[in-house]
Amino acid sequence: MIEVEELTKRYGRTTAVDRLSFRAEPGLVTGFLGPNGAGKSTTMRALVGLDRPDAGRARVLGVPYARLRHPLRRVGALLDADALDPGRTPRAHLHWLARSNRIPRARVDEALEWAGIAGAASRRAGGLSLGMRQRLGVAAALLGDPEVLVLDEPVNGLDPDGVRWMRELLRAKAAEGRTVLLSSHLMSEVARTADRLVVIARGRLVADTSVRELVQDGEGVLVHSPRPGDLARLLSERGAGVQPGDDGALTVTGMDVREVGEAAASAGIPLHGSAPVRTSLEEAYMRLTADAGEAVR
Amino acid sequence: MIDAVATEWIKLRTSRAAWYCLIAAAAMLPLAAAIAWTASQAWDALPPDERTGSISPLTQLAGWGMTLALGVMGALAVSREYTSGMVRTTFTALPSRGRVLAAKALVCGAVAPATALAVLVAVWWATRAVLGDRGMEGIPGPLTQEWEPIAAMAAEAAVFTLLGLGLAALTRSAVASIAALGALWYLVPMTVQFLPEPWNDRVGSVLPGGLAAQIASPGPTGGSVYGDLLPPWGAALTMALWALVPLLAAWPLLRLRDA
Repeated sequence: MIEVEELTKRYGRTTAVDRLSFRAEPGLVTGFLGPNGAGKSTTMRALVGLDRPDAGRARVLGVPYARLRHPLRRVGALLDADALDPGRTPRAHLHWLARSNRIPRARVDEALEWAGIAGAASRRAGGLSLGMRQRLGVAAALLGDPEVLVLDEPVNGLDPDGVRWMRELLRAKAAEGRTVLLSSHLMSEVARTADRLVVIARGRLVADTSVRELVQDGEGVLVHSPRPGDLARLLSERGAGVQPGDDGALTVTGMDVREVGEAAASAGIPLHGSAPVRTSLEEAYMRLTADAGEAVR
Repeated sequence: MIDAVATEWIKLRTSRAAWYCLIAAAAMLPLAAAIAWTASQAWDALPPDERTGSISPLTQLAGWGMTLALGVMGALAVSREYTSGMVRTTFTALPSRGRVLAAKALVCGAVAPATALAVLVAVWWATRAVLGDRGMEGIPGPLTQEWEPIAAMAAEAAVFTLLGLGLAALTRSAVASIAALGALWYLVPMTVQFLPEPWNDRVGSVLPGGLAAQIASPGPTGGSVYGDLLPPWGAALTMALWALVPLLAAWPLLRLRDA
């Protein structure tokens, strides 16, 4: 369980996070989406006690992170694959992490094996590829078998196999009843993994929704008619959302093709064509974050 | 606290930077041995009736070199975590930041004097072995006479290590902390001797590099850039201040600053 309440964090004159509130529940993968610089990393740093919020609070498992005893055994965080000494080996890196939270030493080799980096365990961490360091970061996050996972852009630098590995891993962890918070600036990375979506832009919450709802919001009908004005008025009266396009076509949301056709027929408005359209998740996401940009300006 | 100390111990053992500093400190042994050997060759080349001369205490030279190497080790133990970003991993694993700093101070503050002591005793032994029973002045006596200055120099090594650690915790920068350390080690003492009397001796007496010799000196300190005004207990107290004040100043900052 992760609870963020009215969290505000400023760096000098810039407000990185602005009264942000959301929750991530156990058993679900919560996607944390926003463009670069939206405040995702800041929120996650505040969540694990690295940054002090200027206002509001962030709690994990009901308490501030710093209050947890042996935090690595409760919460696994991957915030930055480069947050290690490049001169140390992956095994040594996991060894001190394990010792710091009294995690059995045997877990180190298990985690290396299981993250697919056992072969590189004795090389300098600084010489590993970004994908390998990312896997090492995941191994570190899961070292203490935590019930909460906080991962900032974990698929960065992973190859397609790695991306699939990550997706299956996170789904499996959520299925075990754990809480997973996964950030990304790309909808396509999160849509197939997350159950819930928390979308932020410029430090503010713009949507707290499910993937399904967001898809439904994007479904509509594209209609061509010689009397677009009359049709738009009619459909609006019946509760649909209507957006006129450049070529006189209308994009109708909240009705399917059959309902649009029957409404037009009952009013005697001719249709030259109608077809279902689906805005992609990516488009829905772009629209959300673009609107937030407008609102702030 | 035990977990934090054990963690820092593993980190130090597996840190390349720390090993380089320890190797640099240990390199004082072959350096001192080489100087002693050169002196013995020069001595033996003289006709027996012209053999006079002295050698300055090599334990002091080795101790002086080691304070810098071990000070840098202390500075890097903290600053490398900041420059690499590892400090964020450290503070998520051990959110009690004061405890992390204290653990680093304990581990480095134990490893540094232990290393210094071992190297100094080896230098003492090597000097005596190389120079043997030549009639040169300045050949160290038996350990029963020499242990006090050696122990004082090992303590000074610990002071420089903790000073480096504290400076790094304050500045969070390898460059700034090592530059400040190097200045206190060489530049400041070299400059202070040119201050007008009596300030050259007064300031020179409280600089960290001159404190061991005021507790127990291995030989005549004539020509030293440092002053000699403090009683042994005063020098010991000043050592404690140099070691602890930067650390204590960094303590509250560590909690307030974002990692």
